[in-house]
Amino acid sequence: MAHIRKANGLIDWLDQRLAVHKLFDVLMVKYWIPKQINFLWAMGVILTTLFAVLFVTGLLLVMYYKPDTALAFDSVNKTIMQEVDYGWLWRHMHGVAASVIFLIIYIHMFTGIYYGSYKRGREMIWVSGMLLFVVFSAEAFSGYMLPWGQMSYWAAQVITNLFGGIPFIGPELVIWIRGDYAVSDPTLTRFFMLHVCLLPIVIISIIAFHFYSLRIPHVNNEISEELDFDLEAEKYMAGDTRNSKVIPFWPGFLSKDFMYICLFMIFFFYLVCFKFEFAMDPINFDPADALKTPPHIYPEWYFLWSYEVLRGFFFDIGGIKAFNIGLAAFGIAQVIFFLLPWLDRSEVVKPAHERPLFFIWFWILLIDMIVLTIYGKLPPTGVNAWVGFYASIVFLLLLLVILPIITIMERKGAK
Amino acid sequence: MREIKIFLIVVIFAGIVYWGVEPYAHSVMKPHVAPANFNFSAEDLNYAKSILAQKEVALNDAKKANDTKRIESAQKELDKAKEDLNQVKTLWDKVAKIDLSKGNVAKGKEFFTENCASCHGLKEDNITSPVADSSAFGVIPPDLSAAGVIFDDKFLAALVINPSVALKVYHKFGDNFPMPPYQDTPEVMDANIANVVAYLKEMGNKFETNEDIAIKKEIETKYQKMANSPEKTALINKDITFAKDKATFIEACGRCHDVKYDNFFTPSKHSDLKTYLGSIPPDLSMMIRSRGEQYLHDFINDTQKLLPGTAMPRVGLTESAQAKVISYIEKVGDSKKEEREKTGIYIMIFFVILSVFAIGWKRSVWSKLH
Repeated sequence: MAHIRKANGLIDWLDQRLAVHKLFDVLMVKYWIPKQINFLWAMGVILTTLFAVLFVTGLLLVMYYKPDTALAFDSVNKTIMQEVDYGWLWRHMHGVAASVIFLIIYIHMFTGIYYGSYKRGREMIWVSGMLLFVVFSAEAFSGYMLPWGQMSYWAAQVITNLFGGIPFIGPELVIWIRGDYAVSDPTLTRFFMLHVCLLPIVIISIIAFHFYSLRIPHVNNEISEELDFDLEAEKYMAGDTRNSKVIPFWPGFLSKDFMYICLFMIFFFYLVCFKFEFAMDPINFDPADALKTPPHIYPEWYFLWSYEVLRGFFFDIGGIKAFNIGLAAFGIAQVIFFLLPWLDRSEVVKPAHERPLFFIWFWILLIDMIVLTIYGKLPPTGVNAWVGFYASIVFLLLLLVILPIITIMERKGAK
Repeated sequence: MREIKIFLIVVIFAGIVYWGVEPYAHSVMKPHVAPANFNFSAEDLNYAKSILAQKEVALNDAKKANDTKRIESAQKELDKAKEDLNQVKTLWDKVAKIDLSKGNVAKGKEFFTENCASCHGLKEDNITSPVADSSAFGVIPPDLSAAGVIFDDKFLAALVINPSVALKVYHKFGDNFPMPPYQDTPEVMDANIANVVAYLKEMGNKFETNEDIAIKKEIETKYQKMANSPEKTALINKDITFAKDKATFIEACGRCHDVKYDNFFTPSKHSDLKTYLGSIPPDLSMMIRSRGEQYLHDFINDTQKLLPGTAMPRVGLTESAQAKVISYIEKVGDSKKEEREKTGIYIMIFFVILSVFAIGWKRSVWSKLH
C-alpha cells in the first residue's frame, strides 16, 4: 500500500487515495488540443451540453409521465404542461433540445467530412460518432412516441412497419418489436423502457468511447496539419505558449467552448420559449387515434432525408417492388456513412477547399441532402415524387460511386 | 474574418432547411383559404362560387382526359355546386329583404312562444324547454337566452328561414335537419323574423347584463378574504374575463364539445351525439396547440372551408363572441403562455450576461496563448 501521510486539505486527502491531481492532468490540463481551430470545433462540447440538458429534463419528466396509452397523453399535456410548476419548461427544453441536437450533430458530421477528420488514424472517432448518431436516432424515435399523440402513433405505425420488409423474418419481427399485432399499449411501454433506460445507457457508453477514441489520434485542426503533439506539448510546458501549436483542454479549449455555449444558450432558450413548433409538431397535440389517419404523416425534420430516400423509389423496377427497392436504399443510407473512411480512397488529409474534386462533391452532397430533407416533408405527388427519386439516386451515386472515383483520381494525380 | 464567413454559411444552410420544412412545407400542405369573414352572406356566396369554379376546372380536366366516367361524375358535381350556390343565393336574398331594425319585441315573444318554445327554452324570460336531454334530437336544443348577443342577427334570420343551409349542414342532413325551415307568405315571414330577432336581442342584452353581475359577485366572494391590493384587482379582473369567455364558449360550443382539462363536459350524451353527427365531437382542451389560433379563427367562422364535409355546423358567432371563444380555448390549452414568454426573456437575459463574463474569461485565458 502506498504511504499515507496526514493530509493538508481535502484535495490532498483525495489525492493520496484517488490520485485526483494525476487524473485531472490526464483528462484536462495535459490533454492537448490544436490551437488552429474555429468555432466548428465547439460542436462537440455543445452536443455534450445538450445531452446533459436532455438527461436532466428527462429525469424531471419521468417523475410525472405515465407510460400507459390511457394516461400518457394527459400526463404530458395536462399534468406536465399545466399543473407541475415549470413542467412546460422541462418539456419544451426536452423537445427542443432533442431537435436542435440533431442540427448540431449534422454540423459536427459535415465539419468532420469537410476537414477530413474521418481519415488516417481517426477512423474509430468517425465510426463511434456514427454509432452515436444511429443510437440517438433510435432514442429520438422512441421518445417521440411517448406523448401518444397522433404523430407519435402514426410515425410508430409506419416506422415499425418498415421492419416487415426484411426478408424471411420481417412479419414476425414487426410483431416482436411491437409486442402486439398493432402499435398499442405494450409498444408504448417497451419504447418507454428503451427511451429512459436501455438506450441512454448505450448512449453514455458510446459517448465515453467516442471521447476515448480521440486520445490517440487527437483532434484534427483547421488546416488538417499533422502535428507532433508531444513536441508541441513540451514547447507549451516549457513556457512558450505563444509559439506552441497546441493548447490544453483546460482552461484553453474549455474557456472558448464555455463562451460558445453561453451564446448558443441565448438562441436555444429563444427557441424553447418562442419558436418551438418545429420541434413539437402541432398534430401531436391531438391524442392518438387508430381510426383517424392524419392527412400527412412525416417524421421529424432530422429523419426527412433518409425518409425521402425510402419513399423516393415509388415505382417497381425490373420486377422488384417499389417498397423493397426503397427499403434497400433506406438501409444503405443508414449505414453508408459508417463506411466513409473506406469509400474515400485518397490518402490526402486536407480541408475540402484544398481538394478540388472533393470540394465540389462535398457541396453537392450537402445540397442534395437538403433537397431530400425538404422534399421528404412535401406531399409526394406529381413533380415532387420525381425530385425525390432523382435526389435519392444522386445521394446513392455520390457515396457509392462518385466518392471512390474522385478520390482514386486524387490519389493518382497526387503522384 | 474567416470565422464569421463560416458562421454565415452554417446559418444560411440551416435557414434554408428551416424554411423548407416549416413555413414552406406547411403552406403547401395546408389548404389555402380566404380569411374569416363575418359578413356571412358574402362569405357563403364567395365560398359557393369558389367551389363552383373548382368543379368547373375538374370538369374541363376530365374533358381533356377524355374519360367518360370522370366527365360524368364531374358534371354531376358541377350541377350540385350550381344547385348549392342557388340555394345560398335564395336564402341570403330573402334575408337581405328583411328590415331587422323594425322588429317588435312583444310580437317577437308571441312568435317565440308559439313557434320556437316547443323545443327551445329561454331561461332569461322564464321559458323552459320541454326537451330535457339529447335523446330526442341527438343534441339538446339550445336555450336561446344568449343567442341575441353571441350570434350575428342576419345569421339568426337566415337560420330561422332555412336552418340546414344557414348552418352549412345541408350536405349531411338535406331537408331532414331536426329544426324545420320556417315558411309563410313573404310579408308575414319578414315581419315575424324581424320581431323574433328583436326579441332575442333584447333578451340577450338582459341576459348578458345579469350574467356579468352574477360572475362579478361570485368572483368577488371567492377573493373576499384577501386584503385589497392591486394584485387582488388584477386577479379578480383576470378571473372575470375567464368566466365571461367560458360562458360564451359554453353557449357556442358546449352542447357538443367537452373540455376535460377545464372539467367541462357536455350535457348531451356522447352516444346520442355520435348517432346525430356520425362521430363524437373532439375534446377541445388542446385545440389551441394542435390547430393554432388562425385555424380556429377561420374554422369557426366557416367550418366547411377548412374541413369540407364536416358535420360541425357553422356557428354564426359575431366577431367579438368568437374572439371570446378562442381566448377561452387558449387559456385552457396553453395556460402557461404568459409565464413562458416572461420566463423566456429572463432566461435569455441571464445568458446574455453570462456570455459577457464568458467572453471576458476566454480573453484572459487566451491572452497568454496568442
